[in-house]
Amino acid sequence: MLRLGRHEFADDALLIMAIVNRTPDSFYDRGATYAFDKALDRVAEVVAAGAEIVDIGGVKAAPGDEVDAEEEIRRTVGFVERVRAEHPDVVISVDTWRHEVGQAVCAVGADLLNDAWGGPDPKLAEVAAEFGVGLVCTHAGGVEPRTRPHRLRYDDVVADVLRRTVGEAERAVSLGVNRNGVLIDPGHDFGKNTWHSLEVTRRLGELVATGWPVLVSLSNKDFVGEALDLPVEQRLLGTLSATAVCAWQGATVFRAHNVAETRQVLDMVGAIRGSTPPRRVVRGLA
Amino acid sequence: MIVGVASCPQPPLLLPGLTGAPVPEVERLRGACTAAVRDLLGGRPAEVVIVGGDAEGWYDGGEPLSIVLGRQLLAAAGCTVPVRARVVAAGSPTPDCLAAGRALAAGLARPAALLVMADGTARRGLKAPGYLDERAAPFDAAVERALLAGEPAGLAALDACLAAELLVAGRAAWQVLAGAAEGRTFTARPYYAGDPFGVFYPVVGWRREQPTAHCAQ
Repeated sequence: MLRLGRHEFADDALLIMAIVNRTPDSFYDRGATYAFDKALDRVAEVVAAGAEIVDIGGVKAAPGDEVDAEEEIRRTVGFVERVRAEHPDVVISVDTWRHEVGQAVCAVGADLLNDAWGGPDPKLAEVAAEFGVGLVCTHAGGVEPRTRPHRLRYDDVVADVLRRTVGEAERAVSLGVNRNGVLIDPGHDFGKNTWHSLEVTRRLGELVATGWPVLVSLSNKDFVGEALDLPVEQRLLGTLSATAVCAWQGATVFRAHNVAETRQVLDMVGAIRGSTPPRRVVRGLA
Repeated sequence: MIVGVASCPQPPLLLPGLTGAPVPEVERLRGACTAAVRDLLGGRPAEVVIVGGDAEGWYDGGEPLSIVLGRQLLAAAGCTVPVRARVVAAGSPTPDCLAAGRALAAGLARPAALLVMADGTARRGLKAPGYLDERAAPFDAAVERALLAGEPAGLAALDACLAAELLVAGRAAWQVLAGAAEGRTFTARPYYAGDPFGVFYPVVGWRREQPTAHCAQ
């Protein structure tokens, strides 16, 4: 049972975490929702399209212009407060590695901290405990935030993912974070080349087998682009294929740009495995 | 004595959960059936006899689909009186059906309601289960006329061979009703008539016409 915000989700739920960037320079949307109102419109859109969670980010993942904690807070806190007021039911996640930012957004209603850089700031988990919010424990191979993987190698990438994410998850619980609010994320492309990301996708079941709910962040990423040799704007089908493969292996949360399409894929996987009722079955039964 | 009749269709679609999420056309049909059955029980029968065809294998418990659906409709309508089932082979010749109906009526010791599970042709359009057959619409119209007239003779007159060709699953049950209600007239009430999936679904209730006071015994 996953408990986030006002919601309890069944173990076989398939949930969408929609990406909402308050950044001028993120790779996929390139600033489209940097403006406050545009980002607010995006939230309304993704909620209507079936996202249970919104993941608000104030710093692009790749290297680029420096964004300090003060600027990150400026981009996220007022926005979180507004989303909380306008969408009391949606689960609000904030994509940050900094505990100062975590504290500020939790104070205005965030439900989940998405520590996408693998725990570089050990105090972030303490903030999650202090505010009673959830925490995503991600594998990034121990790299610094906002760095590109360079000649990283693992003896066994999945073993490293398991060791670090489960370690972070258990540490968080020992600090007082609600066990039902902790997720693990293999961190596709974070501290990983494409071979690594493909392998964690192929072996995702090993993460699921830990019992921690698994979040995957696949959307339009470079491992999809390199697998298919396609630029960012042509990676939707590859993303959705990876989504289906992860859903089939038992992932719970899917961080996504393309919410309506992802919802369709997850509903279809749910229907095939028997956890989501088909929408309209009449053929042969009249 | 038969105090009332309800005729409801019997598609597997009405089984719980079989459409996946609720389907509006099916829920509308279910609502009409439930209303008809509720009114049937409003006639205060001492028992209900479900009359239905013998198509099996749709549900655990060994009873044919028609009877399972009939029991579910009765339960949904809050039925508290005893319920019996009278299963008829869907291919029974008309005389056998009429005889079975007469025997059923003769054996009723108490005021009884009949819940007849029956539907019409399955060849009403290009997308119908049995594709389009031009004879389907007139056949169903004849069924509907007889039901709406409260007139058992119209059901007795249905052509069993044509019914089989048109994939009618309710002919035998309707003709059991015709035998059971023979010589009597009823006041009919329509609840639904439609073919959202190419099969004709009539939902009709019959209530025994009350004798006027001076000829009451």
